[in-house]
Amino acid sequence: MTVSVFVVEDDASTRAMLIDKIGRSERHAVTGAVGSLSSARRALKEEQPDILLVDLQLPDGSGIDLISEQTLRNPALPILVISIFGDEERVVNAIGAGAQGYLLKDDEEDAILDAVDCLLLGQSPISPSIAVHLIRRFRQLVPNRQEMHPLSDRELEVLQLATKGLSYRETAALMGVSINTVGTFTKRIYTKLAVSSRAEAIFEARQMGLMSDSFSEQRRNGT
Amino acid sequence: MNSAATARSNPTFAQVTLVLAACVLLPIGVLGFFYVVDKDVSPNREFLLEDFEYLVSHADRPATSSGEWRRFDRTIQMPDEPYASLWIRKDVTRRLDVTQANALYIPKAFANVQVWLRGELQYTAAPIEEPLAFFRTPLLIPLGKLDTAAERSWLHIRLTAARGSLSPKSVYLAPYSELVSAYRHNYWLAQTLPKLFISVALTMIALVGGLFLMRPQDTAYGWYALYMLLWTAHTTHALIDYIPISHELWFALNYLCLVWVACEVIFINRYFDLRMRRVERAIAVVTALLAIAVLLPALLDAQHVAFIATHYVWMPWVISLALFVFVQCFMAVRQRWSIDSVGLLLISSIFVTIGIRDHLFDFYYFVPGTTYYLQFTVVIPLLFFGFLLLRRHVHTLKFSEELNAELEQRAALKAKQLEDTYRKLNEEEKRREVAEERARLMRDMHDGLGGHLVHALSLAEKGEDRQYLKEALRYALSDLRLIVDSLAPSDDGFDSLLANFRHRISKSVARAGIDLNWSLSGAQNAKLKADQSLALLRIVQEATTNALRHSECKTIDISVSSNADALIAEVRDDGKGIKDRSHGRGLDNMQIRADSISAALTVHSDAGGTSVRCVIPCAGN
Repeated sequence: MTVSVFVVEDDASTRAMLIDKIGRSERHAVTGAVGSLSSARRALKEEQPDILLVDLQLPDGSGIDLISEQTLRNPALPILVISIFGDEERVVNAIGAGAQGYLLKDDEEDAILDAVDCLLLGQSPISPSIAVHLIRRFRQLVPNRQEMHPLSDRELEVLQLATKGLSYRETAALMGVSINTVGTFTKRIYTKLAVSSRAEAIFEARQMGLMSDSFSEQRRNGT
Repeated sequence: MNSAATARSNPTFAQVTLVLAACVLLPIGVLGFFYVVDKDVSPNREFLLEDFEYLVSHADRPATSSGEWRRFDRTIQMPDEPYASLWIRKDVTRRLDVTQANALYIPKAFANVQVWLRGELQYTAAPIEEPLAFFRTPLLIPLGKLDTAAERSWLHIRLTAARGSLSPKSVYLAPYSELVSAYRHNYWLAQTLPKLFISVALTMIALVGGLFLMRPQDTAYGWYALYMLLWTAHTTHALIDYIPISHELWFALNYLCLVWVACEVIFINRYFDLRMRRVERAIAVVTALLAIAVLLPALLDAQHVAFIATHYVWMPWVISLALFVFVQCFMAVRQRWSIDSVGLLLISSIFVTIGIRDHLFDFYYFVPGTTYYLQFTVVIPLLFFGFLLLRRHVHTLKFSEELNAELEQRAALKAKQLEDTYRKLNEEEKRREVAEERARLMRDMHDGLGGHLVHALSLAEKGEDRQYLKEALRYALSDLRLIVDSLAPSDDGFDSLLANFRHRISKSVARAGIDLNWSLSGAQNAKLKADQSLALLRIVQEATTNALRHSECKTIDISVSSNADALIAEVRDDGKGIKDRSHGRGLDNMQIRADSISAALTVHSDAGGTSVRCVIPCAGN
């Protein structure tokens, strides 16, 4: 069974490169590739891909908006952010909006397919720079919401090891778990960031009186 | 001393004129007030006994022979004797009210007093022999109720004193009830009130004297205390009826107490900072000499010399000094128009006037009044000086508050200036750092990225194999990544700088099926400069990439360790070793990088593998 991939990327050459690389795999098929936010919204009303690849800078808006919308519509949809190195902050913003992974345009060829496959297996990639940004983001979230830290000790440990550049294998060995578990931990961290960010946004909106309780309740239930 | 008055300006002509007018009118007003009060004290004049006959005699009973008695006129020649005894008499038959108790009232005897009526001793104020009393306390002598016998009633009064001149100032005879209120009033005025003022003065002296003792540099306070003390002694003298020492010495000391006027001169001088030290010295010398001239005859019992020295030399001098005080205060007013100077000028004008009046009162009958007025006048400077002290205290408090506020303001200003300077320095430092960082980035990109790109370009131009081109571009990209990595905050350890490289390389290494072992003991403590970090990252990357691409190894070991003064990085593989050193540009590049940061690079290679070891000197781990 082939995995259907939908690409949202405004740069034609990058889009072509992605279509080319993914197309070479027998297990993957690009079912749609668009270059703008509006066309992506239109196309995604019709079709339901297995995985969504989104560039953040689009001519008619931010890819983060698209990620938020699609996550609300279908929380289970795996979304990958197309990025380049040095763009970690925006990647973390996208994770906050619901993206569960990222791929680097300038990475080795098979790395793109690896990223897609890993995500479908329920595992998310992480790099030291992203881990550093994640830790900072959680630290910002926690003091505002009078709650316990959303991350468990194990998840925090994964993040801290990631900041040191340890691979999944090394992290898994150190923590005494399987490599897959580390990937799952990572995905859970990403999901928690998205949930916390959304809760934070609702909390702030309510603080500012922009949103009634019943409406925020509806939003949380996805209705 | 006179900081309170520094801000005052010079007075205008009108102001000076006004003050001088006040200096004339105010004393006249005060004197008038005293006379009014004093007049109330005297009983009705119809009870005043006049036209006494007198007899200079030491007899202890009134002489009856009328031939020896003389009509009393205002000067009586007393014999030059150690103590004088004078009899005066008057027929008071018609003055006696036989229906009620009569009394004799003598406001100021200035002698010891014995009263005889109808030849019978009625009253003795004190034992008539020595020590001779000197009554300034008003005397009210009850004569009792007399029988109505119509015989002539002679009143005899004997006065004894140690002084030559004896004469009753005034004697009243009337029913007791007519005299008692005047007596009580006079007693209050002449005794109680001065005592009260003396108490107040002593309190003030203790206060001001204490101030001087605590702050000896404020000499004006010391002179003020001394001036008030001497004045108090002088006034106390007027309350004592039983003189403990010889009359000559007692009166000499009494007059010497007037030296308070000299103290006042010095006080005014110091208080207004008039800078008349020479005048002060001259006054001190003259006063001391004259004091000796008064004291010496008194001690030697030379009455005439003492009298002349006291009345014709000492008193004029004292009065001159009092006038000089007035002049001083006037100078102070001219210098600074302030409540201090004007107040003290007015007070000194009162003092001079009242002082002259009291002096004349001592000698001349035409001066009205029953007592000395200076003892009451003193309350004015007392209160005024109390007010000045209070004002000065309040002023000092305010001044210190203002000073505090100003200091705080200044401190705040200084703090702000410091902050500004610090911020500017900080900004300057930041600008410099940014400029340095920018220069470093330019250099780094030029050294690595630029070189790789130029190389890639030349490959493309030559139409070389795409594979080579791709490799050259990957090199360029890797170097760019290292440059970005090296921008991580410098306070993280070297292991944090390595993290991204470690993350990237681990993926490639895993894909190639090679084991990568890291050992980073002590790397987290090593603090390298940015250029050192980048050079080391480049060397480690180059060595690792070489091992990955060319060595056909199974394992790569990367270790970073540190000791007190160096960081050691080593990349070791178990591959086939480097066959031809001249072939790869990699080794040369590594050497150049190592040289640029003064690091020692050792490349060891044999059939068992290759090791690249780099030692970077870095202080303070």
